[in-house]
Amino acid sequence: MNRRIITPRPGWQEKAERAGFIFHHVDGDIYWDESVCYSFTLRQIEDDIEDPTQELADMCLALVDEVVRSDTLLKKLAIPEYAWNLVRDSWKRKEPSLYGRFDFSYDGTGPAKLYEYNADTPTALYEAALFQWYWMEEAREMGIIPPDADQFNSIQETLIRTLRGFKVADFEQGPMHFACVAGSDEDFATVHYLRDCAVQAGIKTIQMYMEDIGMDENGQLVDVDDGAIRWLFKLYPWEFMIRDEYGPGLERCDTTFVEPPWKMILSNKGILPLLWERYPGHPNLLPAWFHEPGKKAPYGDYVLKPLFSREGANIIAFRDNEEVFDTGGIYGKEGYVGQLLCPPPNIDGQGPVIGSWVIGNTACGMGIREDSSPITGNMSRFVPHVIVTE
Amino acid sequence: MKKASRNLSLVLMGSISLGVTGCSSEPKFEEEFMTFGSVSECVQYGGFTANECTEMATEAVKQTPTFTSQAECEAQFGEGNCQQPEIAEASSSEYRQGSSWMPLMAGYMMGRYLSGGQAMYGAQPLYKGPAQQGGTFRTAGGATVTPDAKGRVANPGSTIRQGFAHSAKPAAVRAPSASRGGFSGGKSFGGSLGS
Repeated sequence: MNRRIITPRPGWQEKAERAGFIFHHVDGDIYWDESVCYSFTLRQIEDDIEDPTQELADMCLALVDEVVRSDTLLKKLAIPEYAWNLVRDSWKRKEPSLYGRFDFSYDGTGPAKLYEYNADTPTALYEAALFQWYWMEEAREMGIIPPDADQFNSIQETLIRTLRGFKVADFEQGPMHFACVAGSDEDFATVHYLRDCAVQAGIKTIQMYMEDIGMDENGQLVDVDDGAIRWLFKLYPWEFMIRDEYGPGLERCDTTFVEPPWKMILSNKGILPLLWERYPGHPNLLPAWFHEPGKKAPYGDYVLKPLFSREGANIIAFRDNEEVFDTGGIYGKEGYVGQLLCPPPNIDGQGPVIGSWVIGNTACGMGIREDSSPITGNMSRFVPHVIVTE
Repeated sequence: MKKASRNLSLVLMGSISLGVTGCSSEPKFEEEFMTFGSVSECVQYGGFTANECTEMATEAVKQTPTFTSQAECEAQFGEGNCQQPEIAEASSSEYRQGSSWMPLMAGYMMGRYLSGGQAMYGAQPLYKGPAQQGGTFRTAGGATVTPDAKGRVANPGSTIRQGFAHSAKPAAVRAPSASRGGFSGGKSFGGSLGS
């Protein structure tokens, strides 16, 4: 694994905009950065990223199967009791999952270590799945990267195949609605991209905002035209969905949600200690525990993460039991988990974090975000990767 | 065996623009004109859909006039009320080249109104109003806009109404039986809800 300084393609910004990548800069700062790429060997990708991702994905499904049967565990994950049936029914009905992203610390040598699983509303998808691939195709032709350079990336074709497998069009169940909250270009573009994949899978689609969803007198969700929402892809976290006004009524509505309600279990940081308890010493897991205020942590160097949090918010790091930083934010009232401190590798002053994608429960690609601060937040930059022959 | 796909393409992404395409049906409503300082104010107000709020904010920005000099801009919009957009922004398609001075937007005005018997909605940018009249705005065309404490503008004149023409679209009417906006708790968190 090497960090290489490379030449950006001339006019890449225009190319990005033409391809719908409207958030290549965020608040004036560069987000897509092709002046750098990471190169890996095939062995590193297959043995250290792809296989562990698949194994962890399977371990997670086994964990869901255990948690849905246990009131104690559902309580431990701070899932409110009125949502238990929603979660359990969606698992019993085998409602399909579309996607999720594991975030790893990896430096090319030892095993990749799991920071967390973004199982419900992962983003950084479009840039990993498509724009990174466009870059590789062109960078090869331009001699920026070797002509035989490869990439761990069949994300888009797996998305399309998975969406086709939903059989939305059968039994006149379509169209499929795609929604996010108004106000974020990144979220809007991510949803628009998934809609693009759905169209390629033969599905009729409608894009809308979460705020515009309505509920009719029968408790069914409807769109702006009062059309029934039978399938809803929502880039909106389940922990908000169930606590919103419509939350308690979702159990009775006929909408099939993507991600499904059972993903509430996996998007919860509480799975980190639960996995560690079930697979102690697993090479891809970091020691983790449920944090109890006032109780000494089992390690001196560790981080506390809220059960629910996004974009690296509210993470508190300790060295020798002394707090060294707190990213701040609005999360954390449901409790924290502790995890052994494992800073990303320091490569040229940058800390790359690998985002490894699971689409329809298949490990199929990755993207890298790097950041000069120790926590990958929403200020990090996305950099492409290649696989090169040794 | 390659790890990357051989062929990928897009069908929708190239035509992305913020805001989802609207929808229309038979009009049945009262006219309303509101001033907003931001998209989230508009969404929270609830009288327009989040889609209309976002789409129309973009439209309002597009209508902002540009000037080749600070003096020309300030002559119309007042001293200290003009800015040069940053280089990164200036290169984007929203701004015409060579026209580098723009008045500072103070917000936008949304209108839902009847035009030739047809229900329409539209938006226009707002700028700081004359200094001697606190709480007022002015439009790009120079009309003074005086909202009440809730941001409502009662019965605006024809100059203000004409300002909506650039962005006007047929308005949708939502069924009164369905409730709306039951998913919005995450709104207060702001920004991306992805992870």
